[in-house]
Amino acid sequence: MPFVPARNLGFLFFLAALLALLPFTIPNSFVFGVVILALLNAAVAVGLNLFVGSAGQISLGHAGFFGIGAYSAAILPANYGLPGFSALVVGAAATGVLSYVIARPILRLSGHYLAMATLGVGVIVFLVINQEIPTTGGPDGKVVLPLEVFGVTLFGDMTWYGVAAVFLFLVTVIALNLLENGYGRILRALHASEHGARSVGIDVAGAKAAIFVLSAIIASLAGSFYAFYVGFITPSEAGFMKSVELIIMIVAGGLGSVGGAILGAFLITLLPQFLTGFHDYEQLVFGLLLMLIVIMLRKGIVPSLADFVRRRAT
Amino acid sequence: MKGLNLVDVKLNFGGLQVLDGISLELGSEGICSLIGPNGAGKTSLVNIITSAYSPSSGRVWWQGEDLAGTPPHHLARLGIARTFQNLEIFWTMSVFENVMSAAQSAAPPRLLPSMFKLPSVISAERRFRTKAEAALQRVGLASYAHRDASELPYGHLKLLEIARALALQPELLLLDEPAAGCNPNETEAIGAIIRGLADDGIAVLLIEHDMKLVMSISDRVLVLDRGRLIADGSPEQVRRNADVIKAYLGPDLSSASMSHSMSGVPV
Repeated sequence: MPFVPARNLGFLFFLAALLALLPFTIPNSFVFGVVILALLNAAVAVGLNLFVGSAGQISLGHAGFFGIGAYSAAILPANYGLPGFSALVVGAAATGVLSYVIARPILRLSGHYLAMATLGVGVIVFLVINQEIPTTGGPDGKVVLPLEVFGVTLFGDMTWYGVAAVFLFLVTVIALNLLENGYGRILRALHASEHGARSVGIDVAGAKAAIFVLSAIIASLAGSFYAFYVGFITPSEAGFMKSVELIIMIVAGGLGSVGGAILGAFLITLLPQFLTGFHDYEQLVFGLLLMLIVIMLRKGIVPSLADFVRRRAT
Repeated sequence: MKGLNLVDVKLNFGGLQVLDGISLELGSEGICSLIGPNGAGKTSLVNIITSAYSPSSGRVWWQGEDLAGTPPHHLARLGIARTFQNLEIFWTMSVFENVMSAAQSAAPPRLLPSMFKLPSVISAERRFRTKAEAALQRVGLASYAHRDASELPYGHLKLLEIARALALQPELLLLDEPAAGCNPNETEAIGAIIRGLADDGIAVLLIEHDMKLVMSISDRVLVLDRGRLIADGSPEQVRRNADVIKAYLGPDLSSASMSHSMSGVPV
């Protein structure tokens, strides 16, 4: 069956049903805000998981790409009069070009060195946003004009929930399409053995770069959507902690697992809201929970549970 | 100029001369074995042929084209496949997926069509599948297709590497110690498979320490010692070559013990 990931149709129906029903359980605008952020984070995490979980690379700079998308949405319409939708496209294109240019030199690195190089990229983006005060508003943040598509202004919690949910769904379909077919094999092969991958004709550098660019563009689009939705952004959206959170999401949810990335994103975005009852000890409890997850469910929540179910079944 | 031609290939690592002027012609004359003591430079020679290393001087020609500067991942497309002495299996994948990753190299999947799973992606997968199944059949691993590669016993992993290389449909197959670490039964089975491939017209360059295997299946034997080719001929000629005996056993031992050693015990 073309266009859809045939082996994961069940999962896709489940996801679609969940996304359709979820908004009717949301009590107020505040919770809507958190859930929409979780959806967008999930899309970024699914993309990043292709690069980190499947291809076995590491990036500590993806919040930088999220930031480029967010600030394109803020700056281009307000300062240059560009329509919001064009700003989103320009942001994604700029992210694509930037990530492609840096991919060749930094993806020659691996392990700790790659972590450092991508961290450097993220830090540079953050610094530019923080320091270019006349353009970006600096640490005080910047107002984002609402997004207009075909004369209709996208406004309101339900509308933006819909945009974020559809975006996450499309990213999920793309990721599953890749992983079910030859391209997923390329990613897993270069993860397992770069020598082996080259010997079977895989362009290791090219594939790494391609998936890095794809994951960066997804992050940029999510950043733009987020900026249009909240209407006000600050440099912390592009900060180091955000990059670390993205990695935590996919590690906790399950490296290489699409469902895991989504679950991890929801967990890491929503959990702090549930932990506010612990007041001063919130961070402590959060940290302990993460430690428990990695100790008890070493492959991440979704793959570990899948293993458990399979073992019970046999 | 058909086949593989090496002209005065030298390779230095710092002050260490690993290969010292190798000239070699390899047509499609069945199985050509490359033997030599540990450290003679056998694997380095394979790495030169597969563009993993570039020679310090000299040229490597394949089907009349200079291989200098060819990225290693292009070799598969040019018809050269290899296996590894230390396994480079894709451990996280099934046996079938391992071979599929090679079968698909004839038309490598591209990102955009794959993202949207265009009909071309599906028809390509179907073609790859047929090739991969044939390759697994060839080495007798068809019944293990859906096992995880990490579950296979060592001897089967060696076969899996051969199957993966075969799925590239190579003209030249470089086998780097395919029987190393295998028991006598496994070695015999691997020998029969290699012989069958050569009989089907694939040129095989076999690096192997198991002399019984080498002497029984080779059409031609090359002997490498300290970076130089010291002998080149039929198994029988090489077995009697005085330089070879000296290289393996030292100058003091008689040729009688040599021929005994080379026909039986792995050296």
